[in-house]
Amino acid sequence: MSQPLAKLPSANLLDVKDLKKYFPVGDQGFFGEKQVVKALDGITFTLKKGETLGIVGESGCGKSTMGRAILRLHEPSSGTIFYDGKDITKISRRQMRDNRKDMQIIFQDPYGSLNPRITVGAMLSEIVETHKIVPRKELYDYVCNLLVEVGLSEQHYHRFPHEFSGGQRQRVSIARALCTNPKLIVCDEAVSALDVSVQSQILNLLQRLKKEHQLTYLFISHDLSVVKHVSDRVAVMYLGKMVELADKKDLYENPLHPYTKALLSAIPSTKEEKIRERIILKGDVPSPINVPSGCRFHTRCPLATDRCRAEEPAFREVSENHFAACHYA
Amino acid sequence: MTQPLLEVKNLKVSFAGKKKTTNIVAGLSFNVEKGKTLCIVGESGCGKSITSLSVMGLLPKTGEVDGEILLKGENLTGKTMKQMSKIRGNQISMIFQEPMTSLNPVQTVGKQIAETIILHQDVTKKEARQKAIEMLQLVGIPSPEKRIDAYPHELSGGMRQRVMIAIALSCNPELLIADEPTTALDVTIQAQILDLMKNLQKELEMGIIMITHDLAVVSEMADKVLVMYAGKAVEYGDRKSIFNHPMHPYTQGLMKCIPDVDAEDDLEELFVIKGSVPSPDAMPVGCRFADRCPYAQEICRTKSPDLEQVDSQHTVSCWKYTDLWKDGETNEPAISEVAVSKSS
Repeated sequence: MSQPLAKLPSANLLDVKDLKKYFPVGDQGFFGEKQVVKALDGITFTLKKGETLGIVGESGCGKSTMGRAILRLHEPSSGTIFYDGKDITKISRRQMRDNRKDMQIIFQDPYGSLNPRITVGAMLSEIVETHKIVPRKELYDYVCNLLVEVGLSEQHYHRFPHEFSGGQRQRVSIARALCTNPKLIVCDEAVSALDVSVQSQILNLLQRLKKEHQLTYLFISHDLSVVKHVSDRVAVMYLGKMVELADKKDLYENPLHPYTKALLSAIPSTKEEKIRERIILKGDVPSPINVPSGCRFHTRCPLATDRCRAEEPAFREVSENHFAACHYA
Repeated sequence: MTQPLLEVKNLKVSFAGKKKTTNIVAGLSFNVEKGKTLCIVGESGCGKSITSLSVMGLLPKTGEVDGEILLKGENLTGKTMKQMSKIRGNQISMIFQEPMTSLNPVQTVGKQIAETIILHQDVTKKEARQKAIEMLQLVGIPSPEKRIDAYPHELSGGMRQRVMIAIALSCNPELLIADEPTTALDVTIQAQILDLMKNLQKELEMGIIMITHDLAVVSEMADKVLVMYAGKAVEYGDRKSIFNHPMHPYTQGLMKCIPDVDAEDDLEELFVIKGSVPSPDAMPVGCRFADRCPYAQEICRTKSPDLEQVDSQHTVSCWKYTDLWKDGETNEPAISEVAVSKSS
């Protein structure tokens, strides 16, 4: 569903190269080496205008860290992020703050991310004012319009977050992200905390807003069915690295990496005739402090060989627009 | 017919407040058979967890239980705390959603498993420890002799849930209640845990009540399904029958609003159940789903439907399947229009 845009030299809204984020976790004794958690260990991808890129992976794979690093809510350790042709890792924090007008994020827990002590209207107005989106006179109308747009009404302006249900709160979060007219929205597990009937309402809302505002989404979720529904392309992450990136259809129908295959096979299905041949992975995700040698997945991979244990596979284009990091893909 | 393992008849749970009493569960009946799984599905606030807590006798003091809960013919509702604590652990066990908060962080997992065993069985500490190691082995924890001395924080989420299962099963209960056992886990770990539960059920022949909001998990695990909405059962029956022919508009809606991974074509929009769950203080007089139902008629808003048998394996609580239903009176828009009007 991506819209062709040829005006700019590149149609890429976001161009991330070799992005790394290490978190220090204290020293290992007096002479010990400094330990780091390699939350992101070299991520490279591009995001076209108007596209939705889904990011899936298990907890601890670094998908949320990536979403935040792109907005520089976590300062990246190294690597570059080109947003609209400009390297945003090189600009000052102040400039970055202005830049965030264009880049917004929606978090998983709408209760934790809204200030409980001010009304929804006041909160939204504050953001609009800070970024000087509209003149003061039009502020109230602007915020009310926004509330209507996300499926709430003018009456909700004077309410506090605790007066809303979970789904409504997530609508407020969406309004908050939308109020600066952003181009890119990072949805970090935006629908994961919601009941299924509310989840479908919010997903539809996100899809409609994307169309109306020409938004680009980076959609982070652990739910593979939801990601398939909203995304144009999907990336699979494992232990701080991307292991596969492809067109949605390609990825779900023809997964190349053994991890992707296992993930897909683990989705429970409501259709009896479609009970999958399940690949049950042994064990848990290894600690990101002691990343396994060679291919990170070899400790759980059913196909691992000596080569996998020694040599790290490159993230290469296996077929057109289908990237995978596996020696045997 | 043989006696079912657990029989719940017309269960009502209410909480007394300062001014008024709030009914959370309003007349629920179901059976669990030996070696079979009943899944209770519903959204947050529908009373599914309260139902399980009342079976366990773990409701807070303000909660009042009415109706019968028969475990092998023995009524549990009148039991004292002391009598219940003998039954809990021995005959009924429970697994909770969040393994980190339900395990004691300052005790080793071995101690926590052994504690249950010592409490209910006449064994020495040494024997209990040995049994705890066996239990850890049973639930598939590698090198159990070492792990038994681990603290909960040293284990991963999946391992913690395995420990919870080990504690729950340590006294060979006949009935296991699992309240959202895999909701906090990743899909690959969820697959491991569901697999484990199925195997253990076969081995130990226990009845399982599984509470979840995930329909896909239900279709993998259940023999029977109970769909709850706002404190009432709306549909109850055989898994096959419910998944192949969901009859209640709520069940139908639930199944349609999950994106389907196996779908060939992309849907532009997902199906939406409009509105939200009514508050327990302000339940509608008629059918509780009427305000969100695309088919609702006059009668739905005035009178509450009962669970009616539609075939031997399937009961549903909806006026649509009774003689009182008037064809053609539905003036609500068709399903696809509902979705559009919601989002415009």
